Amino acid sequence: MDNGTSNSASENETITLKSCDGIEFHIDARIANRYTLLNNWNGGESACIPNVNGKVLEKVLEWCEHHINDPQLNCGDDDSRRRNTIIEEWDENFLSCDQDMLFEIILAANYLEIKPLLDLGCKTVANMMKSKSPEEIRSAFNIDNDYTPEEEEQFRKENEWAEDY
Amino acid sequence: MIEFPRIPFEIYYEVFLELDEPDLFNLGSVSRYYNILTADNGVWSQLALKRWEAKEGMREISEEYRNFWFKSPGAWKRVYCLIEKEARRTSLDVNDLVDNIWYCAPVDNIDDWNNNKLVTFSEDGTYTHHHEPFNPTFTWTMKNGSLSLNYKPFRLMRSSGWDLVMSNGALVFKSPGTKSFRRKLREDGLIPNDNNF
Repeated sequence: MDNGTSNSASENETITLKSCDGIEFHIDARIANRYTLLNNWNGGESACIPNVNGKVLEKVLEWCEHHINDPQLNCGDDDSRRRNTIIEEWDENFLSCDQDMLFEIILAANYLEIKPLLDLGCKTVANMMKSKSPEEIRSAFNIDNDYTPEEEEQFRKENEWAEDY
Repeated sequence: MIEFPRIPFEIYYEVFLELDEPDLFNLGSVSRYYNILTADNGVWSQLALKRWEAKEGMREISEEYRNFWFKSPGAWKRVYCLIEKEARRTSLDVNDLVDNIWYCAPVDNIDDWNNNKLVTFSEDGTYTHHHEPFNPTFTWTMKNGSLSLNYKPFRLMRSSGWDLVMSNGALVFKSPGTKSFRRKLREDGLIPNDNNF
């Protein structure tokens, strides 16, 4: 953001964040204003963000920058958040990373209280679980099946009524 | 996938709130851990209360027992499943007949319930039309899980509001049908037994 003659001064302000593995990021101060928790670690010289490494922080900040002009949502309004189930194309591409990274981003968004990114991550995971058989979910998320065949049969019977859903 | 303990439940909770019932059933049968996670009362109470919004009888029951269910882990899911199964039952139980007051109407005049007759069934195999002063009494039988008067057997189903409805193509019987939900829940210990009080 250095084309700033016509922009207000605040747009050129930057703050410095440091990841837990010591990588520094200089970001638009407006991002930190939106997600107040980021302000806690402003001035990376001494402070660094625990629990979030440089690779993940880079992704999180990339998302924040892209969405810097989004209208602020009222976070208390659970319903309005949930009804907005459409994921924008940019966000979809952004989160079509490997699964470990996806979960790292979710954990970081949760930790840094970046609610819209947390919601987006959860929706993405939910979409990966939708309309899948148990076996498909196991292989998608690399989960071991610790049920016996008898227990599985029991499950199938218990859920038989739900087939007309 | 990142090892489970690293993902706090509140994040799973957010994910599960995006899923509907069949997805949650599938997820529950993935592994023991997921079975416990997906049976969360917070998740299923939301699904249940939404599902029962337009089902007057179940709404009443849930208002009465919500605190009881929240006290027991996994209770809301068990209630939800039990009620769905019960709502799909098509085989008549004698209790359905004798526990309830039934409204009776000809099939072509089904919307005019106000003008219709009350009918009660007794365990002794008789039923009574309650219109003064005669209150005529006839006999009923049950065959293969269906009520039979003297014409075609009645087919049992639930209306969209989960009233019990029986029809034989000529006559329709209707009853609130909430008692059968209470009966099932009591049998499974999901509502306290009244006798204990």
